[in-house]
Amino acid sequence: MKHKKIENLIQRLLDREADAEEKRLLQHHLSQCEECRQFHQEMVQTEQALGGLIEFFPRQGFNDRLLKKLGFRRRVLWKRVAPVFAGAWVASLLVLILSPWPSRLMSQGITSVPAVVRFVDKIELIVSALSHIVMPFAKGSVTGVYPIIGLIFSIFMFYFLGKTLQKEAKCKV
Amino acid sequence: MKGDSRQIIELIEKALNNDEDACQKILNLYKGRILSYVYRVVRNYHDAEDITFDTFIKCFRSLASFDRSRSFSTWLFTIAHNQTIDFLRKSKQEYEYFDERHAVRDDFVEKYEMKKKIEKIDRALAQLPPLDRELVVLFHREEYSYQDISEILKIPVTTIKTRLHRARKRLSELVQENG
Repeated sequence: MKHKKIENLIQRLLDREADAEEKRLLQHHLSQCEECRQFHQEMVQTEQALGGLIEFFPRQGFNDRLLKKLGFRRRVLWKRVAPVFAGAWVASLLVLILSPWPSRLMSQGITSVPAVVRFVDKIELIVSALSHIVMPFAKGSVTGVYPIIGLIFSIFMFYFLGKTLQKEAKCKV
Repeated sequence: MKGDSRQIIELIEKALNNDEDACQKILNLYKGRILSYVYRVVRNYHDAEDITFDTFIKCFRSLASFDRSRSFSTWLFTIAHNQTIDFLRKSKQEYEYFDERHAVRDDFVEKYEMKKKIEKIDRALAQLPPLDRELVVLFHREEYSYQDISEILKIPVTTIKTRLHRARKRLSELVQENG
C-alpha cells in the first residue's frame, strides 16, 4: 500500500471517521512499515497533546464587571438614596421616642464621647421643637441623643434593605 | 453537539427571566473555554479577555433571539469567532496569513504554562495561521464535529477537512522541528 494512502487513513482515524476495516488495514501496514509507524506516532502524540492544552480563565472580577455592564449591579444614585435614607432616619427616631426603651442607658453610652455631645447640643434645639409635637404620645422623656441613635439604626436598616434589594435587582438583557 | 442538556436550557430560561445566578452559572460554565479558544487565535491574554467580555455581552443581550433547536455552545462559539475576526480586522492583522512574529506572548500566560509537552504543542500551534488554529482547537480541544465547526466558522466541511489535515501535519512537523 502506498504511503500517501496510509497518511489519508491516519487522517481519517484522527478525524474519528475511520471504520473497522480501515483501522485493520492501517494496523496491518503499520506493523510492517517503520516510516508510517513513526508518522502515525507523531500524529497521535500531537493529537493527545492538543487535547491537554491548558484552559485559561479570566482574571478575578470578570463576572462582576460583566454583570454590572448588563445592568445587574446598578450604581448607587444619591438622588434615589437620599429620600430613602432620610425616611429611615425619621422612622428610627420616631420608634425611639414613642417606645418605652430605657433612654437613660442609651444616653449614657453616647454622651461619653465629647464630639458627639457637641453635635447633640447643636441638633437638640431642632429636636426639642419636634418633641413638642410628639410629646403627648411619648412613653419617656425626649433627649438630643435620640437622633444619633436613630442615625445608627437607620444605617443598619439601610444596609439590610440594600442587601435585600440587590438580590431582587432585575437583569436588563 | 446538537441539542443542549436540560441544565443549560433551564439556565437559558432563567437568564431570560433576569436571573442573575443563572447568568453567573452560564458564565462560569463557558468563560474558560471561550477565553482559551480566543487566546489561541489572538495570542495575547488581555486582548483575549476583552474579546471574551464582548462575546458574553453580545450573548446575553441577544439571548432572546437564540434558536433553541441549535446548540448553545456552538452559538456562543460563533459569537466568539465573529468578535475575534472583528478584533483582528480592527488591529489590522491578516486573519488568513497572520504572522506569529507579530503576536505577543505575555508573562501572565507564561506563568501558567507548566507541562513541557503541552507548551511545545502550544508554541507550534501559535505558528499556524489563525484559521488553522481555530480549526485545530475547535476539533481537538473542544471536540466539535465538522458540521458544528462549519456552522461556527461559516466555511464548507470540505474546506475544514482539507485545512485541518494540512494543519495537523504541519503541527506535527513543527513540534519535531522545535525539539
